[in-house]
Amino acid sequence: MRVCREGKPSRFAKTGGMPLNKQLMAWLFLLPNLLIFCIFIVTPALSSFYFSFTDYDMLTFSGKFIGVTNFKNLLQPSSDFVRALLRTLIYTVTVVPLVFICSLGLSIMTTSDFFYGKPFLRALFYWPWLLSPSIIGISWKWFLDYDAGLINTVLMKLGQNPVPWLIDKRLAFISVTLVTIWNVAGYFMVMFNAALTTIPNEVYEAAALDGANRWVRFWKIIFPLLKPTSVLVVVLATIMTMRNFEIIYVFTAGGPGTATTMVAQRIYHTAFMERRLGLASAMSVILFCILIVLSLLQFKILEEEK
Amino acid sequence: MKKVLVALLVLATVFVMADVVLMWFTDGPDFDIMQSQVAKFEKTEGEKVVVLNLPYYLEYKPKLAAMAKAGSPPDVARETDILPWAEYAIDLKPLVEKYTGMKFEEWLDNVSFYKPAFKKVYEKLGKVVGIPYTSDAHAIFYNKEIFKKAGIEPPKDRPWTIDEWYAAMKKIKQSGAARYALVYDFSPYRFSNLLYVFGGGIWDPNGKQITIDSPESIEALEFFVKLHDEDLIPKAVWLTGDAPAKYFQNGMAAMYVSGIWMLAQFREQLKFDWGAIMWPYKRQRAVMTGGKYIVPFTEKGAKLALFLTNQENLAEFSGKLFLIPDRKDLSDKVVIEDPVINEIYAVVMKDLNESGRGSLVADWYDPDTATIVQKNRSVITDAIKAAVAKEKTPAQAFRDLAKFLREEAAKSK
Repeated sequence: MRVCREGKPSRFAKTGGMPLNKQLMAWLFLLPNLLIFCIFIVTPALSSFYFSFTDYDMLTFSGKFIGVTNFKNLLQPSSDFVRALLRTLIYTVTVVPLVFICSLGLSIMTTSDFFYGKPFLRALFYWPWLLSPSIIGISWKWFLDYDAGLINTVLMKLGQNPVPWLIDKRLAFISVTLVTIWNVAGYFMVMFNAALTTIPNEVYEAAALDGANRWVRFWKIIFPLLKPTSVLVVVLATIMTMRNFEIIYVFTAGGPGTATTMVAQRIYHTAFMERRLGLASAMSVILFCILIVLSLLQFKILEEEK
Repeated sequence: MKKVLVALLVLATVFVMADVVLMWFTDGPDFDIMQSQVAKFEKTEGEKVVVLNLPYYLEYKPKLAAMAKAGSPPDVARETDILPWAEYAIDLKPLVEKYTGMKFEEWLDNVSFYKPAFKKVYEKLGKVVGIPYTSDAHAIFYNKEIFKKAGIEPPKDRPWTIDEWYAAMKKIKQSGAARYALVYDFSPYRFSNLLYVFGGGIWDPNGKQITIDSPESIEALEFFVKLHDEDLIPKAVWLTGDAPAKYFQNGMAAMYVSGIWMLAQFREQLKFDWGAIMWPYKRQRAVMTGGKYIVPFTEKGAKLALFLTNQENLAEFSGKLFLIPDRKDLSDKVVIEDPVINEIYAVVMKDLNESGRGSLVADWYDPDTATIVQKNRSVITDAIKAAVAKEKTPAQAFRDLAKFLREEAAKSK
């Protein structure tokens, strides 16, 4: 505690060193944003917790409290939600390692001395991340559409049969996976770039003097030093993948059938197409819990690293 | 957040500035015609009208519902249904004579001519919700050039049976005249027409029980799935949401199941010789009708709605867009000058006059039964999609759907 010369507590003591009027001023400046944040983020978030215990219906804008019925119905093994959740887990487990490998590979490529035009390559790989998800979905649909897509048009001109990229369930899932990787790999590449450039040159030189080849240097030096960034990339990619909605919605509309319908789309569909806001809120709460566990895990791992 | 605030500010400004707010969705090239009629209203009545033109699908209905629920609906809105607005709309009964000079009963009979369900809703609710605006009918358009190439001539005086239709589709595919024989709009409403010609329905025609799992309904879905399996219909429309019209417009599909609201657009866009065939049938002939309403929420809105639906304006609107005006006294007053459209219009009207409507009223308009269907449109779509995608057999898809709808019906009681 700060004390003044006479031994009395300072007038700044309780305000963390800032005069009260300045503190008030700070709060006043924060107030507009805080209000907007509370009205448009906090209130809807809290309401969705409440709605998850109701059968609120967006057609009549009414609903009654039904306890945990929504959660019970959603967690039935045969429910559409559980199927979408499992599909999302498979999608996440497929996408995250591939994103990790690709972004690390791109990062090594764009920081290595063996490639020319590195700034151009970095911009090229980062560019998909800057595009709007809807544009990505529409563009890839133009490429992969069965009847009018660019790739199938070329194949047919060459006398080949068209490939049902978005109509066959497995191919649609693979297409969605690849487009997701194409979209986010550049973003994580930048994270790895930042981490790679902080490794001092002396470390590489010392390893080279000890006779370590490139492979050994990568596995024994670079990879362990990248661990905090790797953890961050894995956790962020997992959260991002589990919440993925826009690209898939525009690209395949969750089809064929429900082959690429992930949890986020299921929530959207239930809320805005079926207009069952109560049920959709319960789905959101479950997804929120899963994501919060993942985030806590991230903090814990990063804390241990420190 | 900023966008939301800006939108709210714009809406607030609009409501403050306008005498009458008309919420509209564009369906074909109708916006300019409506605007000119609104301008006429402003001139004669001296009232300022602001038109909120919004995209219909996904955004329109929830926005209107939110505004109505919050107690600040527009004065009048264009809509496809009246049931969701029964609680919020103004009762037109006391206003009809004041603004039209017609006796109420005379007016009701006149405007219910093509929409018998409208009168039924009035009789059940005791309140006049909205005004029938334009009606349309489901239609099957065909590319005459592809048909000629495949050596097919559809009968002019009668419809095909389902078996004849299927044989024609196979012939188109086998002849290589088009990549697909048919493209079918992605809509449970459009699919219902197939249900009805097979003798099925979501409800039975009297609205007593759910019949979506009846052998006839299942047979209709089996037929629909078979058309997809044999590549007679492009799978991408029902499986991944591709736009159906492009297949017909580009000459990739020989026939298109849609409705006469497409006539104005097709007249401008199609570069080939085209026409319409009557609805094929299995057990009964059926053609579905639908259309638009204008729903006033305030007396100012009612005044504008009745102005837009007066004889002169409705005849102009329907004639230019090739729609059926929802007034019996206009049935012979709509003049269509285009010979192609005239020929198609004649086929559709003949089909309409000779056919029944299946379970149309029970499924989509009767307040006692249609609410279950309207509320669960996307569940019905999902069931059809699941069968087309082979996630379920047609029988399993419709049995699960029937179970769900029966539970919903029981809950609503």
